[in-house]
Amino acid sequence: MDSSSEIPPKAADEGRRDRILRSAFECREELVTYARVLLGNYSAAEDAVQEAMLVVVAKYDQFEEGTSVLAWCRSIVRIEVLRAKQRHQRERTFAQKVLDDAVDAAFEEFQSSRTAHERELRRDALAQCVEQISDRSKRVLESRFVDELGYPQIGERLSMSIEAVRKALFRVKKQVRKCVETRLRTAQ
Amino acid sequence: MSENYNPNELEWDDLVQRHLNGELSESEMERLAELLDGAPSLRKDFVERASWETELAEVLRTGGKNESRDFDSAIAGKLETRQGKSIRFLRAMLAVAAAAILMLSTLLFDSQSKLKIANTNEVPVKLDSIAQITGLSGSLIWTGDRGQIMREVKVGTELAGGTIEGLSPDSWFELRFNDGSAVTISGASMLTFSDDGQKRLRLREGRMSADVSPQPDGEPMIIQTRTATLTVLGTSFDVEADLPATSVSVREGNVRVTRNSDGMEIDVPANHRVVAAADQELERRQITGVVHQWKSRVDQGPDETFGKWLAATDADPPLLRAVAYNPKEAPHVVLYLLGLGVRNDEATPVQLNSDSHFEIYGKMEVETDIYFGIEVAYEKGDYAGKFRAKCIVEQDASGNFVASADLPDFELDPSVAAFKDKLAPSPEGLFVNGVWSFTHSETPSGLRISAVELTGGIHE
Repeated sequence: MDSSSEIPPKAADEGRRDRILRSAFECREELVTYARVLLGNYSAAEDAVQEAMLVVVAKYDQFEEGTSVLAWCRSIVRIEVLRAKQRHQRERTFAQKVLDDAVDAAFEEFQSSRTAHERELRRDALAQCVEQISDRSKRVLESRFVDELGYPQIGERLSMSIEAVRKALFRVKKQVRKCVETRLRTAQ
Repeated sequence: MSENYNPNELEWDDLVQRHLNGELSESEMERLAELLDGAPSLRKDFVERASWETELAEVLRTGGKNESRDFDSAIAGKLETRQGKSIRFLRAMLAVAAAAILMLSTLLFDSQSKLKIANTNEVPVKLDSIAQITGLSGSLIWTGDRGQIMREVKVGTELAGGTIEGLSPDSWFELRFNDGSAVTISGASMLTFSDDGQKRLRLREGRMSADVSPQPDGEPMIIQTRTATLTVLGTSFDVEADLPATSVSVREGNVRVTRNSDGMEIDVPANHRVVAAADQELERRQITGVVHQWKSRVDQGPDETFGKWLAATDADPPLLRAVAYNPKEAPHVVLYLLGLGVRNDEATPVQLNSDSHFEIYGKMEVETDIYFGIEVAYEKGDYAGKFRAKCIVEQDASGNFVASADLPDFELDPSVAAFKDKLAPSPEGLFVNGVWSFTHSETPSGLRISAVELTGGIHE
């Protein structure tokens, strides 16, 4: 008798369920990224992923062993995204459809998931780097990423031209990214 | 950063970021799709930037202490120990989720209902249909403009635009627009289409034939691929699109081809062909005559193949390996399938005659029957059907085989039997566009081929 036959079926199923759900929850950030590129809105992306996670919990038994949990979850998120689009707009334009297909192909080809440890290291480094930038730069980032304002609104809020906002965002993001990469290299 | 495009980093970053915030105009969306389609390095960079922007947004929103992170790590960490407490914690979480599921049941039921409708052969009513399906076979998925996903599309279904994807070498799909213009995709192809007064199509990959009725003044049919844009007023032509190049062969009328990488244009008249690729001269060539021989070029790489391409090793030449495939008609059956486009360097049509003879060279792990199929077209490019034969196989002890089939051995493929009256009775005299081969054995056959050869006769 092999060891697997000693595990009661119910416990084995619960173990499988726990493993799949844990993997799925660990992909949350990747899934939000994917939903965001399809929806163009951070909050809507979070909502879509939340709904997708409920489907994952209900349908974990349909996951095919040996395949990618991230890819499986992405397919569920995609359905939620399409439903969200359906709720908010009558029809996707041709350009939107073409771009959605291109984005989908890119994610299928290149998106991979990080381990919880890697993600934690990155987030800590990122939080520390954001703390180091000037208050004005931070306000630019927060206006864009927290308040989700467009360039004209940020310009109005911070008395900057649209072009200055565009360049400031680019510069600050690059500065933070460089800082994160340096910290991660040092930590290794 | 890109093979064909070189947007400066600020422009590229701006485009990606504004896309993430839903701020792109229609033309910018087209530009971004074009950039993504054109360069793997940009696709990779796009995914990395999008991931980075999400990480940054999460940290800015939560100060790096967001609940989801704590929640995830708590689940992950405690599950590692598999202690009772942690399992109870997960169960409590699941109970909360279950309650939420009940609350969302109406929503989810709505979603599942849609999926079920899509799988029950019911023909959805489209209020503003622009085209109708007039023929199909093989595995196809249609995604509608409003997000419906339908695997069981059928003849007569009216569509209001969307994306149709052929999943295997034997897929075939014919669509007729309301003005009588018809397009056919075959093989593993992906086509997006719309008509808001002007027909716009996007052939991401694969092969498409079109017979286009005269279009309204100032609103020609536009067909985009990753490497070219075709402007069509009314004509018949074939397009083949893969990542590096688009080939356009015109049978009647005139098609304007614009190369995306530099905007260069060329008019392609009847019986001419042009290849639009960044690394080739954009010039039209006359299509002359026909040939009766053809030999595959598996050694040139995986372009226009279906299956897993394997590079040469010390022991074997480059091979194309069959992959598991469930036919739509019999989803419980597992076939091992591979496919190849039939092209030659001069784009000369490959015609079959009564003496045509196919030989397939390869290797298998088991002794089993090998089936060989061909997709054929009429002289003007219209789809003529699929035919298949059971090969005569000579296999040695190490698994190497030569399989062969003569044209009289080929019969109409069962998957298109329903269209028997519409299709050619025999492949003789027709033009071959693609070939495929499969096995149907109890265990994986390990079918892989190194070459397929068509000769004009057994005695050539």
